[in-house]
Amino acid sequence: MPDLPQTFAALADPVRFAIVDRLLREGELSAGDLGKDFDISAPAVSQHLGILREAGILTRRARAQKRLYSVEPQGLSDLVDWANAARQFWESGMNRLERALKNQGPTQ
Amino acid sequence: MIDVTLTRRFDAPPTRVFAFVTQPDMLALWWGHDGWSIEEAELDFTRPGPWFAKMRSDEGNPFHHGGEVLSTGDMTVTFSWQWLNANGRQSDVSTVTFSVTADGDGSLFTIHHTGLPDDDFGRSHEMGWNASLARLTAFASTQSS
Repeated sequence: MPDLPQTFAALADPVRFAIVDRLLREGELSAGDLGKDFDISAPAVSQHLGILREAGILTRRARAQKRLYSVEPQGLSDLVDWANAARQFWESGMNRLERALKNQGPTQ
Repeated sequence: MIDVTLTRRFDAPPTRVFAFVTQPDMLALWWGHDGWSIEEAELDFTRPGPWFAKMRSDEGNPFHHGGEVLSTGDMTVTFSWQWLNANGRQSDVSTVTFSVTADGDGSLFTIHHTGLPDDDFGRSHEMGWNASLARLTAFASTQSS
């Protein structure tokens, strides 16, 4: 199970983020197709894809001579959970802050 | 979404709102979820250094978190954040920034909470990353539900 820092670290790189972003929009693509977006070598693209797979964000399957990559939703679910929990914590705080400001007398 | 941003308008001047979100006695009035109580805390965002809060939910579950106040400025403060369990084991470190700005005769209070380290976060904005994250979140939500 990938941990959250690994997910964050994997997505914090501009090339890797662009790869995930493109796969979210276009579905499934080969390493070759993905590499065309960037001015970097095929091994470098391959390394980025490896890090994303390691983090559980991408899955790969073989079809004919190609390896096709797509986004693994489960790999992003921890991220979504984290964001939801943070949002709820601060929403509650904001509500209570609003009451506290009102209850602590007139503004000066 | 990798980072969470909330902004709310309050009908009070910025200096007053900023006091409420940085000074210990005032932070204690609103910190945490509804129904949670603070059992012990060092909630002081007026100076660099450690902070923590030991809380208990209305169901009796303990919640302990803390971190380090990283920088304080004019109407802004940044601190690290992590959940701690009974054994002192720590969750992932994230970063929170509070900022207060004037809005007419009131104030806007913004909370920015990000799982990314500071350096990466600045860069993420240049990449126009928020729109993409919205897409990513929507995708993950539909797939996992």
